Amino acid sequence: MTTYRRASDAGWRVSLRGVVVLGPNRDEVQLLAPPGDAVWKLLGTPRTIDELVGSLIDTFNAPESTIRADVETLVAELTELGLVEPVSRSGRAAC
Amino acid sequence: MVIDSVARFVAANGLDTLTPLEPVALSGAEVRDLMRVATRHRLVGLVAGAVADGLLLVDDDGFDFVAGTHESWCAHVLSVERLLVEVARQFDEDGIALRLFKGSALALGSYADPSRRLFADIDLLVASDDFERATLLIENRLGGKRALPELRPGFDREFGKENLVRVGRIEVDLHRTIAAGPIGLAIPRDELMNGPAGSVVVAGREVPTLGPTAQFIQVCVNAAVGDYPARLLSLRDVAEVASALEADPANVESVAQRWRALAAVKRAVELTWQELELAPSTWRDWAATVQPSRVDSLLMRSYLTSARSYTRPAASLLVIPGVAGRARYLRAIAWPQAEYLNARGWSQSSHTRRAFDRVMRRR
Repeated sequence: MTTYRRASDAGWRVSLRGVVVLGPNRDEVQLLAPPGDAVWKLLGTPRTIDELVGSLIDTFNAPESTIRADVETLVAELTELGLVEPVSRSGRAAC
Repeated sequence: MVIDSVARFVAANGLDTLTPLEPVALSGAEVRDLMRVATRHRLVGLVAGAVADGLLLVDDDGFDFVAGTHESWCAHVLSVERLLVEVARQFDEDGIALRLFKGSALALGSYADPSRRLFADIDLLVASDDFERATLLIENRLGGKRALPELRPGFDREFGKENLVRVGRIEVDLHRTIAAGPIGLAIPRDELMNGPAGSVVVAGREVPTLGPTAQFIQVCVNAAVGDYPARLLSLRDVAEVASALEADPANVESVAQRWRALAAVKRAVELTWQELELAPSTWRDWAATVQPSRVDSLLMRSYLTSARSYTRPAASLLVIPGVAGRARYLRAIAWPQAEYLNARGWSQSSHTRRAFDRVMRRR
């Protein structure tokens, strides 16, 4: 099962409406509004999609299937942008 | 409502204040007034923090205005940090040692929440011997442009505080010392570069910073004489670094005395505790009793006059060693090279007249 974490070279700051993120190879910042900001904070530690969903389910009052779909879409987009990277369980970036 | 007192309240939020801070409700117009004052005092991050903490009560428009302004600043800060990482990487490759201070060093190293401590540029200390090489590296490899030529050839290396190099819209301030004028000149540069260092992690890269005592003295000097009157963020920096630093006033006193900065440290601590209305502490008690020398007090006062562009250089003569060094310094101040005057839109006669007018107005 794939594990994900924040790209170590992404810069970010907490804002009133979420998290502002800038990747090393892009000029535009991303504003991650809730629940994206919660996912971003959780990805400080490598986690699987199941673990992310499990952590968010108590905070967000929505069906698990909705949360899972949102998390999968967000993680895929952030991975595409180079802001999140898949890692092996040892914590190394997966090739 | 007096917006200046709200700004002080914002600057003190989260610190140990004399009286607990009570929530304040702001109208839309007051939010905009506060943000104008906050921009002047570099407090936008702390305003956003006070809104997040429920200490500033604002309507939806006010919330969006504060959030939008804060997010624009955060985007700038992240661009600054990305450039910082690139500069640090290039310096490392070329064997140029650096010490990061102010902006990122404080946001990531001293503040519990870096998003509350915003900044506009990069401040790096480099050794005098590397000063020109570091400037050229940023010009040649990162497309930097030097803001102003030297007063005279060789002046920056011997006496200058900093070279300002602009990369796009971001300014990289390369410093040989941590303050302009006599205090900066009196501080032994090798102690700044070779003394104890700290570090912060910026976008995954570890960057060396000033050590704790040097950092505390730097924020104090900045708060005491960097801007007149002092910016509230500079006072907040003093309180933040003081709380992160193990309370060891004796050590700070001994280093600050050797660096001729004791009067500035005393003033900064007193101003911080007074303006932010902080509860009594070891630092405040220490500042109330410490006695800087007359010369150190004179050096500090040279920054606090309306003619400081001229009183500061005059006081610098007290700390520059040797007659030849003083003569070189005086010559550069009185007769800058043509490139410098042209860049500022001055002539030699307007430069001299300006100095005379400022000094005489002071009297």
